[in-house]
Amino acid sequence: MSPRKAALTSLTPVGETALPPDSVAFDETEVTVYSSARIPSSSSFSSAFQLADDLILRPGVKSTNTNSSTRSRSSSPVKTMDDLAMAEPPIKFFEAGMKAIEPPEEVSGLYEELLDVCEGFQLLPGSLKVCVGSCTT
Amino acid sequence: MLVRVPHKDFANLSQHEIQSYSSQYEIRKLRDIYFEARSEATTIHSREELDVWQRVTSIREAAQKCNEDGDFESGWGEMVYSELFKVALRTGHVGWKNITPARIEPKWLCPKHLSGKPLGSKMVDYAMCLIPDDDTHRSILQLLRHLPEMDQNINQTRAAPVRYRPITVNVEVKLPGAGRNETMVQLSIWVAAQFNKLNALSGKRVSIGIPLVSVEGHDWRIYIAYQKENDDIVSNINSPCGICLR
Repeated sequence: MSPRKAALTSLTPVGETALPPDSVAFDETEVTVYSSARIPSSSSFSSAFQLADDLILRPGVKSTNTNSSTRSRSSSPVKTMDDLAMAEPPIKFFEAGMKAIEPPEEVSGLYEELLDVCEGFQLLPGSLKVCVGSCTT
Repeated sequence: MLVRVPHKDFANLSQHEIQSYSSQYEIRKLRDIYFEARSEATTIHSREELDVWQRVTSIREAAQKCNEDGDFESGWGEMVYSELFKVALRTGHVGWKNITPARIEPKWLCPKHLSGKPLGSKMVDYAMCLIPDDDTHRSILQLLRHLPEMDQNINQTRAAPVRYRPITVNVEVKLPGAGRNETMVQLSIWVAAQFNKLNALSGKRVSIGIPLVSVEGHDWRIYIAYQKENDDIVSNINSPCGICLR
C-alpha cells in the first residue's frame, strides 16, 4: 500500500503523541497514525459518544434527530481558560497589538484587516455620514 | 490600539517619523493609506447603502429591546443575530448556519489533559461557511471520496448543514452578563478540533487563521485562532479587538 493510500485509509490527527505511533510518510510530512479504535476508552467521553462513533452518516441520506453529529450539549469539567493553558497542546490567549506577539506571516493579512475594521477604518461609506450623524446625536 | 502620539509632537513629525515611532510599540504597521488626504465624501448614497443602514439601525433597536425585555438566547437569535448575518452576508459565497446541536467528532478532539485524556467536547452556536460553487463542491467531494465514510466531512463535525461547507468563522453567543470565560473555552476547543481535522486532511500543519466571534448581548468580540509554528498542534488565539454594537 502506498504511503498516501495508507494515510487516506484512516484519516488521523496530525501530531498525536500520547499513543504509540505507526509512522507513515505523507507528502514529505511525517504523519502519526492510529486507528480510532485506539482512542483511549477511559476518555471523558460518555458511552453514548463511543457508540455514536460507530454510527455512519451516509451521503444523500437525510439527517434526522438521531444524527450522531448532533445531540444534547455535553457537560465538561473544562470551565476556564486556565484549563486550556495547562492542556497539551496548550491554547493561549493574547491581546491585540502586543509587540511581543507577532502572528505568523500567513495570518498577518487577516489580522491587519480586522484591526482596520475595529478602528472603523473604511468601514462605512462616506455617503452615509449624514445618516450616521443623525442616529448618534 | 494605535499609539497615541502627543499632539504637540505629532504636528512636527513627518509620516516616516510617525511610522517609525509607532513601530517601536506595536506590531501593526501604519500603512501609507492612513496618511492620505481624505477626499470629500459624496453625500449621495445609493439605494442599497441606505437600505443596509436602515436594516442595521433596526437590528440595533431590536437588540436594545431584547436587552430591556430580558429575552432568551433564542429570542436574541431570531431578532438580532440572524438578521445581522443576513445583512452582513447578503452577497458573495459565504453563508451562515445555526449549528447549535452540532458536536465535534470525538476523533478530532484536542487538546488533552496532561494525563492524556481529552478535555471534553464543546459546541458553538453559529458558523459562517463557504457556499462552494460547483467546481469547489466537486473538489471537496473528490478529496473526501477516498476516505472512510465516517471521515467524509470537511469540518470537525459531521453535522449535515456544514458537512461539505468549510467553516470559516465560528460564533458563540451568550446572554448579557454571562461572561466570556465559558464562551472562549467553547470556541477554543471547537477550533482546536477544526485545526486537527484540517491538519489531517492536508497531511501537514495548516497555516491559516480562523476567526472566532464571541457575542454577549451587545458586546461583540473578534479573535483569530492560529497554530503556532514551533508546536505540533497549538491553537494560539489572538484577540485583536472588541467590537461593540451599541
